Amino acid sequence: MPSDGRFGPAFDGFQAPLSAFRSLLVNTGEEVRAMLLGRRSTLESRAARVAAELGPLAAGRIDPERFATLVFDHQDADPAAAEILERALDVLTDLADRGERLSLVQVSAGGNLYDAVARALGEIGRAFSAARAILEIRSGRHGGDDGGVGPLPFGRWTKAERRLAPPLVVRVHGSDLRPAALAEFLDGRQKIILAVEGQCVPAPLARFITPGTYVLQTADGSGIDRFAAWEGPGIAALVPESAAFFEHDPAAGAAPWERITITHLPEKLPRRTLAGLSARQQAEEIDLLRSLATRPAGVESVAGAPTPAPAAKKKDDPADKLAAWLLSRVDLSNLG
Amino acid sequence: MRIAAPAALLPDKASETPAAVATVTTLPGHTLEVVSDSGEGAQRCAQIFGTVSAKMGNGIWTVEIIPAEIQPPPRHPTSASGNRVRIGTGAVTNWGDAADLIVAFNEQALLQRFRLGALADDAIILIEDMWATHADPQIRNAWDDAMEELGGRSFRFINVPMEEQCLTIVDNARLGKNMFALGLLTCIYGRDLDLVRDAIAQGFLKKAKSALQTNLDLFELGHRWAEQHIDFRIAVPAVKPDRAMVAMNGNQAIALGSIAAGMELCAMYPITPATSASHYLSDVFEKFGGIVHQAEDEIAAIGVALGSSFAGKVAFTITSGPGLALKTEFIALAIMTETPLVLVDVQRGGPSTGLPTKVEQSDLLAALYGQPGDAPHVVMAPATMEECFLCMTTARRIAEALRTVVIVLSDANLASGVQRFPRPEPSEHWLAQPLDLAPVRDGLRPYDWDPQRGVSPRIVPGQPGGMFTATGLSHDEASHVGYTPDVHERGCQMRSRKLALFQQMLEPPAVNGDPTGDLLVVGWGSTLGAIEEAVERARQEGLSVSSLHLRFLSPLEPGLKEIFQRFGKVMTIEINYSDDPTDPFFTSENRRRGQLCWLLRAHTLVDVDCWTRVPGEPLRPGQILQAIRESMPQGGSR
Amino acid sequence: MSDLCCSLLSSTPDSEEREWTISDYEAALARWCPGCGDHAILAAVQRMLEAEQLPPEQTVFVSGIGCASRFPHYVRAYGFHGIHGRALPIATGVKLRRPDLNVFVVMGDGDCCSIGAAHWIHSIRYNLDMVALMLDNGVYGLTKNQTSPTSPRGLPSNTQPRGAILPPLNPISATLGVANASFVAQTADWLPAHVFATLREAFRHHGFAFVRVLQRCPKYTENIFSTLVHDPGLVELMVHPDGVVVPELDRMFKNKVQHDPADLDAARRLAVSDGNVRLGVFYRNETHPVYEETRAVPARSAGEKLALLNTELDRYAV
Ligand SMILES: Cc1ncc(C[n+]2csc(CCOP(=O)(O)OP(=O)(O)O)c2C)c(N)n1
Repeated sequence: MPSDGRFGPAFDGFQAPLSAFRSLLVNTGEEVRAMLLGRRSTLESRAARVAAELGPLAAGRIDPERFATLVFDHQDADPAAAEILERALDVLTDLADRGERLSLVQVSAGGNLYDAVARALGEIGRAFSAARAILEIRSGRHGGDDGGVGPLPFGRWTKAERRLAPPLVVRVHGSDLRPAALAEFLDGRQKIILAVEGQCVPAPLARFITPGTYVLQTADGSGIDRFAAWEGPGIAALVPESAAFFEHDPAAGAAPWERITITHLPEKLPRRTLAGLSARQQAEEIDLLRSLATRPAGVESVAGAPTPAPAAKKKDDPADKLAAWLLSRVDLSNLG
Repeated sequence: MRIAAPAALLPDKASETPAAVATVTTLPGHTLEVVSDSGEGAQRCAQIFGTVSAKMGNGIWTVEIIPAEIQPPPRHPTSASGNRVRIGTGAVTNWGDAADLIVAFNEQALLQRFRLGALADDAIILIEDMWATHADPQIRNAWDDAMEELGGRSFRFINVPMEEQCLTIVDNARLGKNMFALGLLTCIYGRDLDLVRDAIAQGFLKKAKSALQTNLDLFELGHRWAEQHIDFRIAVPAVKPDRAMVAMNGNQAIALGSIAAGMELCAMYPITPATSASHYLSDVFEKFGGIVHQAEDEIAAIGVALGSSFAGKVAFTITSGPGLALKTEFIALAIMTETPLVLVDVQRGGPSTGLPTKVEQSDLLAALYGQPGDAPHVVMAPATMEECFLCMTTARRIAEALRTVVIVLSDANLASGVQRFPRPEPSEHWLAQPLDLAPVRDGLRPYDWDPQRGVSPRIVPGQPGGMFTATGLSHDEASHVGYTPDVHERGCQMRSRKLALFQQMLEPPAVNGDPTGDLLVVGWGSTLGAIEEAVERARQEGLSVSSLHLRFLSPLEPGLKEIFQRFGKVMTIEINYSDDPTDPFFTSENRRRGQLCWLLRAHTLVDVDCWTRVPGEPLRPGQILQAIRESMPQGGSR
Repeated sequence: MSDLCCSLLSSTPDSEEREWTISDYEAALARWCPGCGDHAILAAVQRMLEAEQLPPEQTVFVSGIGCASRFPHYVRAYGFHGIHGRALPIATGVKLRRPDLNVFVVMGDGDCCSIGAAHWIHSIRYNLDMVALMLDNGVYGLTKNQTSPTSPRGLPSNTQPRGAILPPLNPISATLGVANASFVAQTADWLPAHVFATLREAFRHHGFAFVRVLQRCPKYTENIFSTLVHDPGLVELMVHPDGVVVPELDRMFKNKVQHDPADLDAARRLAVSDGNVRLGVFYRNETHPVYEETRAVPARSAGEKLALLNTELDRYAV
């Protein structure tokens, strides 16, 4: 369970996709296991297997050899195919065993955020490589190659795969926060949460605001539950108090100002260059955010816009809490 | 005025003899009962005694004694609640004949057991004696009347001041007597004290430490009291088994067995005596990836299980007679659409609401033939707790391979009795195969029956290229509705043919005893242990009797006619109603026979007889022995 | 409806590139009577399947018994044509353990409101994410003209030749009265555009979507809807951005009521007929927990199951 009673629940929304992805890996692995069993069987071993399947009550009561004639197995003894299946199963088991750690990315100080995310997604993509290799074999199309089960970059994921992958939680230092290039990963239902350590620019995610992308900057995790529940892609950052807090909820309206809620803007304008952005560039991002969130004069509001609530002040570093929360779940305690 | 108790009835003066001089009687087995008002915890006392005995290496069989109501009136014969525990040096296969020793918390519970013939003629009776001198004259009178009714037999009474003793530790003795009684029994039967203490502690895992201590104190108090006041000990030597053992009741076994079989859904509606299986499953199933769905009624329950199974998941439903009746239309639908399904019927007394908590084997014909229309399917019956566990895997596998319904007939005797058996060693092969959503090969139809054998590969939703509509209407290989004679006859043939095929896969049943003889006794389900014990005793008396116990009732196991012909007479023993041919009006023409008997006669054309009873309790081996003696064919060897 | 998926092997990279056309959803030729409203409903359903691009192999139609329940045979998808009144339990079983499938239930009024009434009430409570269509022709069609629970009072039938004895039950009010009601709408077979739009909203709704479709039976109840068909003035469209929007109908139907489907009290008032028949979304609420999600359990590998089972057996060790 999360270590912080108030903070944890905000992230419970991620429990479902994380667990669903693991279930997917487990189920797929089980299917492969069954395929391997079915493929290896000769008539004799099939009788033995059927006897085992019927259990001890059938011993001396049901003739396993005759019963084995009821089993419709795929007969394919190609050893190369079996080897690929084995390898695919290893990949799936390995990924399932990693559980939620699969979703946790640490960008080392001075590291490249884009590369780290791309690598993590590529790792998750191994599941899809494995699945594709299995599908090839199942359809009998497997053509002698080694049925690569290596990393599969996000760019090569299918539409379905982009909806299946679990969210990524990335710990990154503010000075390494150069998120712009992450846009290419925001498709399907992919969600990226940046847990920012130290100071960062005030509106690092403002440029991500597009009609179908959920964008969230928050210091205390509020809004994370809605973010997690969104059906499409999204990016969120857990930022320090010095940054802007806002939420862009694509479902909240047709116009950008209906979709954006700003709860906090920094009082002081940035003075120095950070993460490669000059003070001017940083100010531009804030202006962009503000202008998107402002209803043009003369345009009628649909519903009374709620007044922004002041963000609750929290001392603890949200990034730490998030990581602790995730790690606390990695032990798969629900296995017991 | 108090009635003077007859001399034989006068309770022993609780002697002050210390334990050292107590006489020890060593026996191969012993049967005891603990009875109280419901709520006084006799069941808990007896259950711990049973578990500890099993842990020490004794064979055990326990049977619950259940009042019909949740809160019956106190001190009333119908309120008797408790357990019988039969322990033995070897395996114990049934609840035995009569109790050799009974601990009763009041004389009314005792009286009830006496009236039901549950007490051996020379039973030792440990009884709470506070009622004899109770302030309320009505209670004193009731005590006196009971003593009079119990008089004239060779019972040995031992008065135990349970209330008085317990009050030295707790304010409300009602809640403590069971632990005191456990202390008595532990001393008398020489049970391992530490095992008992552990077992008591198990019940307090989630409760306050102080509550546990109080219970332990009461237990020690009872033990000490027995050491000082009871002058006999009973030793039933235990043999440590050479393999790991477990002890559980049949419903727990079915629940665990369904997990071991890889079941993913149990859809049910509460009904005694089936419900406790789903209680247990509700507790643990989710961590195995399974769920218990409590539906709005039995019809919905089987419908949900059927829907999941249609979608490729492994599901079962569990119920008892009245629920089985409601499920019939869906059973036929599953058979018609060839959707695998396991249905467990934990039988109770019928018809109608009948005897909700009591054992009966009277759903057999309903399970076989309850579905209007021709609906061939498999019916099997576990005979022991171990088989309750194992049959779930077997049933599931058969249901899948034949694409049909398998009905598992358990009963209240198996459901609530606890038996020790070798610990199962689950295997990954027992688990159901995972869903395989591979595209369907071109041209494969949902009912591509092998014309010789009637079986066909199964297609499940999600498989590309396999789209079809399952239907309860008469249909052809493609599941297209067709009412023409050839379509309907062919469908019926195919569904029947696979059952014939399966029957050929079954091995002929083993005969217990000589392969030929004067009398063959045939049973099914929970009566196995009692029948075999009776047959054993009959053989010791020199009677030429063998027995045979069926696990598969549909299709019937092969070779029966040939086996039957080797015996002078064949007789079923069952817990269901049949007319006694000596009663008025009954002739061999109009006599209604036991359900298995009926089936065997039709199946083998052998003139099978039956001896059946519906006492609302398990059959006793002594009763069966008597029936065997009386049924020996004329001129049979002795 | 759902991206949940049992396994990575359940969809193939090439199948997802495929575009489904209306003919992909066509199966056997429908054998309802000419003029039966079911034909139009079938066409609207097939259009909706195409619009939503639902892969036929991922879609299941479950029905009971009756004319309406023949529906699955006419859609190329998986189907389960069950027994009278029991479509909902079957559908519950499918969706509960296979949330990856798109599940549609088709029932007649006898099916749903009479023999299957218990399942109807409880399915609303379970709130699984599926669409339930009740094709209401106010009569038992298949069994040839017996009174149904929705037959208008006084309507003669073979079982009540002097007219239906009891007032009809109101399926919309009944549904709205059940805890967890999630999506409740009404449409009519003679307005295919409205049927289509309503079905699409129902499908997109996350939760149990109950849609009553007023359905003409040319053989037995031709007259019960004829005044409505001929006089659009008797029909009131419920309109709202969160409801059904069918611009084509704007001209024809002058009677409109602004109704926010979030307003349960208003929905209950509007459900009670006061001479007008209302079409559109009465109620929509996505906040109720969805049963298959509440009951979702993590998958376990064989190895995990065996390990857990052995721990469980330890509890019974003696
Ligand atoms: C258990 C059971 N009872 C009765 C029937 C007979 N039956 C078949 S359909 C039907 C009623 C059909 O009416 P409805 O559900 O309104 O559907 P419609 O035919 O009008 O579309 C009845 C009573 C049956 N098939 N099964």
